Order: sequence, then structure tokens, then C-alpha cells
Amino acid sequence: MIPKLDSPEKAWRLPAPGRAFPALFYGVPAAFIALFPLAAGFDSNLNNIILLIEIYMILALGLNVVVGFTGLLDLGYVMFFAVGAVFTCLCLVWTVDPGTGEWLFPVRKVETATGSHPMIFPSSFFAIMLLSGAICALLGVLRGIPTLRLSGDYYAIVTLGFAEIVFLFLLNEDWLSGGAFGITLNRDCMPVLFGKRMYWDTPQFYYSVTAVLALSVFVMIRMQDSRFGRGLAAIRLDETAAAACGVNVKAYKLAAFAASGFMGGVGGAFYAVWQQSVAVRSLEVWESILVLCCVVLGGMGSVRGVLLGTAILVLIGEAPRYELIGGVKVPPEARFLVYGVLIMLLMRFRPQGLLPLKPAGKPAGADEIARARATPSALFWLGERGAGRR
Amino acid sequence: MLKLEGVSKHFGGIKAVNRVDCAIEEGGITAVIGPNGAGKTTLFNAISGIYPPTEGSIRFGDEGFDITGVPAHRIARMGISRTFQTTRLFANLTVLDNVKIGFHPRTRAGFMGAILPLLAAREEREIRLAGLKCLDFVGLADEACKPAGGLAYGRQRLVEIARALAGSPRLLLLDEPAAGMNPSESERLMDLIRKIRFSDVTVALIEHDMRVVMGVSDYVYVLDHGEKICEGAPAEVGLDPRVIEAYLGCGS
Amino acid sequence: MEEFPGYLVNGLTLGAVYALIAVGYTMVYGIIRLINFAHGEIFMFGTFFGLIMVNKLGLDLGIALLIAMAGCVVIGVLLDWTAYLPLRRGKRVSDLLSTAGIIGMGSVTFGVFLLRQKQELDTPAGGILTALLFAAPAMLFAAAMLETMGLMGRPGRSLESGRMSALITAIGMSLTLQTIAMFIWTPYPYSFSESALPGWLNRRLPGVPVLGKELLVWIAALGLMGVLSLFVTYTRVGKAMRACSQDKDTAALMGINVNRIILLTFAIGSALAAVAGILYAVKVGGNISFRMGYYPGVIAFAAAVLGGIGNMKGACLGGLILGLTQSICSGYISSEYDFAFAFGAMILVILVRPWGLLGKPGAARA
Repeated sequence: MIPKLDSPEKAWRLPAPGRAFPALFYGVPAAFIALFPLAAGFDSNLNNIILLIEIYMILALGLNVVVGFTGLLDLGYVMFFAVGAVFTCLCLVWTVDPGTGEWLFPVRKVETATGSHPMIFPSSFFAIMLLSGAICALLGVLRGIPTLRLSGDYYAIVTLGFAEIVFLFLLNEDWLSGGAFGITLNRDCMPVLFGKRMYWDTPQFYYSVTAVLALSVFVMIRMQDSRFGRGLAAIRLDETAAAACGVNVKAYKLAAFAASGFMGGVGGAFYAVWQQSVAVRSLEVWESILVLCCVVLGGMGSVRGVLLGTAILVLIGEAPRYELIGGVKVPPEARFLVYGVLIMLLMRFRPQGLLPLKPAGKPAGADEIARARATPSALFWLGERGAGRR
Repeated sequence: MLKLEGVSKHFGGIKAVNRVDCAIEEGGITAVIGPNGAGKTTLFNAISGIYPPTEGSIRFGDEGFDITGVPAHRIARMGISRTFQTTRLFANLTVLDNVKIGFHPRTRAGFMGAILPLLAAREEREIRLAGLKCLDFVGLADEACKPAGGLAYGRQRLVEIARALAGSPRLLLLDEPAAGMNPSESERLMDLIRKIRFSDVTVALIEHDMRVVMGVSDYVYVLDHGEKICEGAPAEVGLDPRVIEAYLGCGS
Repeated sequence: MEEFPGYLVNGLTLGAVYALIAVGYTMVYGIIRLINFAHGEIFMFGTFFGLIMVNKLGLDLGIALLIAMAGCVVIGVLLDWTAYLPLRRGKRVSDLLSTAGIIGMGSVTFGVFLLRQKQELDTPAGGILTALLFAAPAMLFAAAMLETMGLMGRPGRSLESGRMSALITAIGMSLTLQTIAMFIWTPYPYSFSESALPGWLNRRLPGVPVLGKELLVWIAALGLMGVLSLFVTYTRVGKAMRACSQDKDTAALMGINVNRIILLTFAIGSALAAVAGILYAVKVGGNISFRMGYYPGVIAFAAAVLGGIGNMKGACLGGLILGLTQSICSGYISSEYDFAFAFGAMILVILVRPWGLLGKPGAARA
């Protein structure tokens, strides 16, 4: 049972709710993720699932910036994911024939004097990833500018509309995205990291996903408790009051859209490399509903919750694919049944999610208050100067 | 300090505020009174930039800076803070976090500060310290880590005042601060308002509780049906026949 | 220009279908401010009902329409009863029943699915593991439920996001119904068998470029709309309905049973959706699959917004406009982007005129 926050004695001693045992919560899984492949090998099935969970965690954290922190229901998040993935593939397969200077697509075997690099774009994965993130951030801002006034259902449905348009665009422009069949990455056009090519089963890939995820988690936790994060929370809870408190609502929303888009693009880049291909057909709007389910299950706005929710849902969704369950072949769409029932029940009985966001913060003890009273501050001086001019 | 010239606000055909002139003197406590629906809150909303006035101009500060139609967050940065008639606290955040949000106009850390914590660490410490000082000023430091929505109504009003004060305003607009308070609470509220004024913050308030109005204000404006019908020192205004008519329905 | 009449006829037909769906959206949204995402799925279920009646049982199209309407009314009422009603009226013991309904729905479907794959379930280990896999979320929620019941009466559950919860529930319902349909009818597309449908549907009317089925869509849409508007304008229940969409709290104070009215709106909307679904499938000539409800559903919602949400005439107008837009743009610009044009139109409407063509500003801020 969660202690009632109303009683003052308990409120004092509350272990900063939502933040109890952070070391345990983050440390154990982190250690497991870091060490597991060393024992089981980087090409094990479970390793593959961990990678997928991590990629979805990055996506879900990105969506959480808009849905959880800012309180706008984004149903079109998949567009960033899709654009990021397609862009990454394009960077990797588009190439120039060194002899004629012609653009070649998709990549053909190009014999050059040095022989190794068919790509003209930076083959460094992180450069591609950042670029993909930046493009999606821009996309997020562009989508955000007209939708700034909207909130609630209308925002949700407009984001859905944008995602559908992007989806139909990618699906129909074969020259760009390979159309319904998608783009497949050959073994010799995978990106390079630390001088070696990256595949899903290489340590470079595994640890770069992990590192980016760790960084994202860190940034998200910090963001919540920063001036920016508080501004977003204010917008979520009461836009008018937020503006009256000096929060630049439009700029903050745009920044949140950009951050969210960036994470989507980064997730897409990882996804493309992980799959060694991207098929636009599989990036329908329902995929963003999945990411939304992850956020909702864990608790909108709560970083821990989002991570937990993602782990649970991806595990549920992936288990059948790997035939962990005997001979039964469940079609991949079956997971949507579980997701649907799950979020319905969740909204009924625990709309705040499994690990909800709680009013949190280090409690201020009597000594800290006394210290604050005694210390002059540049930000607040009322009562210090005594009577003013009157 | 603040000069309103011919300010009007129309909603469709309804003239919520009609050609109101008034001036708020620096260092004073100005009250705006009037019966329900007189346009007082609309006037405050127009001043604080929640929506732009339909016509007229609003000038702020000694230099007479034109703030007509400036968006709310910039007005807050210029030094006008406000509270709301029905408290609009961020109910799910703690009291301290509410006040921390109030420091927005005076702090700088932006998006990068959120991503790179070291950049903003000093400011964060300062905000926490100042936030506690601010809560201490209104007498709520003990409640700093409770959810704001769980406080008693009168205390929520105090939190809202603390949040407004956190922006270091030069002018503080209080919209019915004593609503829902019992007599002893409103007594303490009056003390607080005086204390705020003595700290060099100009105060303007909308109030129905005549004891509060008479007790703290230096100057009173009376609105009725969106128009200013009277102004003057509190004692004079109470005797004005137009005011009595507005409140009681007919002059006697 | 010689293609234009064809596009016009096509657009009007599509528009009539959209209008029929949009009425369901607009009535529900008008009263409870909820985008009933699952409405598109009711449309899909209606089509499947019609398909079974016509193809399997060899019934007449008219009778199939009636039976599908009845079936969809049941689904629509169940939908509101299990998913949305408990959100509206807060927690009660009877909610456990509807929860059991939701879980049961999921497990029955999965049971159907397992029966289909019976031969593959021979290994006992496989069966147990599967059961566990699908029992896990149920257990998770049993735990969550127990906790919530322990915390009953605590305020703040839906302090922040009551509307968001409802919308997410609707999305969940949509996902669930889709997957159920997929389990029952497999993911492959079906179409009405030509021989089972009356022949005049595909014959041209003399002198005009209108097929019999297009005429049927128009007549059905016009007729149903007419009946509906008479119902809403002149009957007691219809007036209660309009009162609810103006202000449901006041309506409740006037002694109207709001929840019953809402149930009725779901029923009416579902019946119209069933007709729309069958006519759409007859018109398009196939593509009946578990995802078929999604695009028409979203576009019909856009139509409802376009006309002014809560306004039935607006929904019809919006449906026609979007149908024509889609048909004409896809004809002249690019047929691959037919739905994209409708989505674009929707975005434009919401951004420029969120209160719709026939609505009043400020009446329907989302």
C-alpha cells in the first residue's frame, strides 16, 4: 500500500515517491544487459530480444516526452520511426559509381581501388544516427508549428493524419523507400563503427544501443527535474497557468516535439541496422499505438514506468515469434489482442500506469528550511529588506 | 506603474469590459470591486496577457512600456504576476515544484540545461533555496513536499500567491485571494498582502470581501457591467450612490 | 473532362458511405466527447456479418442488411457497456462483470484461434506455455485490481487525464476488435460472391453513368438519414438525445437517463455503420478484411469534424465533401494517394476551422 500523502508525518518520511531504490531498479537490469551477452553470446535469440526491447525503450522514452511530460496524445509517432529507419537505409545504400559519377540505387557491387567502401555518405554509424535524429527533430517541429493550438482529441487525430500521409508517401514512392518491399541492406553496406562493420549480433551494435539507451534514460530523468521539464509539466497540467508563470508554452512545446522526434529518428536508425532492412508496410500507425501502449502501461511521464512497460509489452509481443511456446505459431498480429485488452483494463483500473509518476522531490527538512531562511538569495528577497520605501 | 486607457474586451457581442481607464500607483494596494459579472477578471486577464484586449492600451512601468496584447509569458517576465479566481495550481506537483515553476521568468536554463545537468546545477540549487524562502515567506515551508492538490483551499491560495511572488513581480495581481477563506485566514492574508507591499511589490486585487478591501487597499476602482462607475479611496467609494446602486440594485 | 461525371458519382457514393459512418461518430462525440475509435471496427464487423449472410447462407441482400444491423447494434451496445460506461460512472462492483467481459472476449477469441490450430497443440508443454503466456497479463491485472480496490475512494485516479483514458480505451477496443476479427476470419481479404448478389447492382442505369449499386448506396443513405433526422427532431427520445448533446449534466437533472441515451446513440450509430460497411464492400467490390474499418473510420471522423462535431447534417455534408475530395483528387492527381487527400483535408479542417462548417466557434473545442 502506498501511504496516503495527506498525513503530514508520513509525507515527511516518504522516500521521495517514484524514486525509491533507483539504484536497484536501474542497476540490476543494467548489469544484466551489460553482462548477459558475454555469457550467452551476442547472437543468441534472447540477445536479439534485448536489443529490440532497448530500441523500443528509446522510442518509448521519446514518445513519453510528448505524451507523458507535455500531456499531448501523439498517435503518429511512428512517422519519426519510419523516416529515421528509411533515412538510415538510404544513407547506407545510396552510392556513386566512382567511374561515371552516377548515382546508383540500390547499391551494386562497386569495385574501387581501395575496395572497401561503397558508401558515399558517412559510414560512421553515429554520424548517420545523429543526422537521422536531426531530420526527425526538424520534422517534429514542422509538424508541431501548425498544431500548437490543438490539444486533446484533435491533436491526437491530427498527428494520426500526418503519420498516415507520411506512411502513404513512403509506401508509394518506390524510388525512395523501396515501396512495399522496402530496402534491404547488404552485408557490405552496413555501417562501420570502430573500424568494423555493425550487424545486429556484433558487440559494437549491442553496446552502442545500450549506451544510447543509458544516455537517454539519464537525460530523461534529469529533464523531469529541470527547469525545462517543470515547464512541460506545467503545460500538461494547466496551459494558462503555465503561461502566467512565464513559461513560453509554444517554444516549450516545439522543443518537446523536437526532442521526441529526435529520439524517434535515433530509434529508427537502430531499428534499420538491427533488421538490416526496412519495410515500410510494417511501420503502420498501429506501430505507434504499440509504443503508446508501452508508455501508458508503465505510466505516462514516469521514466521508470515507461522502461518497465516497454519491457513487458515487447516481451509479450516477441515471445510468440521466437517459438518459445512450443509448436503453436501465433501470428504476429496476435499481440495486438493482448495489447488492446491490456490497455483497456489498465485505463479502467490503473489509468496512472504500473509505476506512475508521483509528486516527487527531496523532502525539505526543518534544518534546510532554517538554512534557507538565513541564506540570502538573488532569486527571492521579499521580506529580507524589511520595509521598503514605505 | 500600470496605466489602462480605454481598455475594452468584447466576446462576440458581449462587452465584458468597456472603455475602462485606470491607473495603478506604484507601491500601493489597489482594489477592483464590483458585482458578479462586472468584468473584473476579464480586465485582469487582459492585463496579464491571457487574451489581448479588443481595444485600448495598457502601459506598464515608469517608462510607460506598451504591453497591450503581449503574450502572457512575456508579461510575466516583465514583472506582472497573477493568481487566479479559481486556484489554478499544478495539482499533481508538489507545493515546492509549483513555486519552482514560478521562478521561470527569473531563471535561464533552457533545453540544454535539461540535457546537460551540470550546466544548470547551480541554478537548480538556487531555485530550491529560493523556493523554500518563498514558501517560508507565505508561511508554508512545512508543506513543501506535499502534492499541491491535497492542501486545504485557503492554503492553495497561499501557494498560488507564493508561485506568483516567485517571479519577482513588480506588480502582483490577486484575483479574489480571500475567496473561500475563513475570517482568521483572511486576517492572515491581509497581513501577507501588507507584507508584500512593504517589500516593494505593488499589489492590485479583485475582492468581494469588503473587510479585506477596506482593510488593505489604498485606492478602489468599481466596475459594473464592464464599465468603471467610480474610483477613489475606500471610504469614499463605499458612500458613492452609484456603487450602492450597483450592489443593491437601486439607489436609496 | 469526360471522366468527371464518373469521379462525381464515385465521390458521392463514397461520401454517402462516409456520411453514414460519420453520423455514428458525431452523435457519440456530441454527447460524451469521445472519438469512438472502435466505430470503424463495428463497420468492419457489420460487413463480415453481411458477408456471411450473403455468401454462406445465401440470404437476400436486404435481409442481410437487416441482420447485420441487428448484430452491430448488439456489438455497439456491448462496446459501450463493457468499455466506456464504467469510465463514465466511476468504479462499481458491476465493473468486475464487464472486466470479466473484456478478459472473456480476449480468451474466447484466443480459444477460437487455438481450435483452428488444434493439430499444432499436441505437445502438452506447448499448450501450457501458451496458456501461461496469455494468463500473465491477466494475472498482472488481477494484482493491479486488488491494489486499486484497496485504494478505492482515493481521489486523483483520473485527476489529470480522464479524457485521455477514454480515448486510449477506445484505441484499445479498436485493436481488440480488429484482432478478434482476424482470429475469426483470418487476415485474408474476402469479397461478396457475384452470384449471390442481385444482378442489377452491376448494371448501368439507362442514360446516366450510374451503376445500380451506387444508386442503392444513395437511396439507402438518404432514407436512413431521413428517418434518423425525423426521429431526432420529433420523438421524445430524439429530443432527449439532442438535450444530452447540448449539456448532458443539465439533461440528467431534467430526469433524462443519460447513460441510456448514450447506449441508444451507440446502437443507432452501429446500425448505420453496418449498412455503411456492407454497401461499401458491395461498392468497392471486395477487400473485406479485419483492417478494412480503419481508413473509412478515421475519414468519417474527419467528416464529422468538418461538418461540425455533434451536428448530424454537418456529418452528412462533411462526408460528401470528403468523399468528393478523395475521389476527384485521386482521379486527377494520383490514385495511390486517395486516402492521403482525405487525411490532408481533415488536417486542414481541424487546423483552420476546428468547429466545422455548420458548427459555431467555441462550441467544440477539443
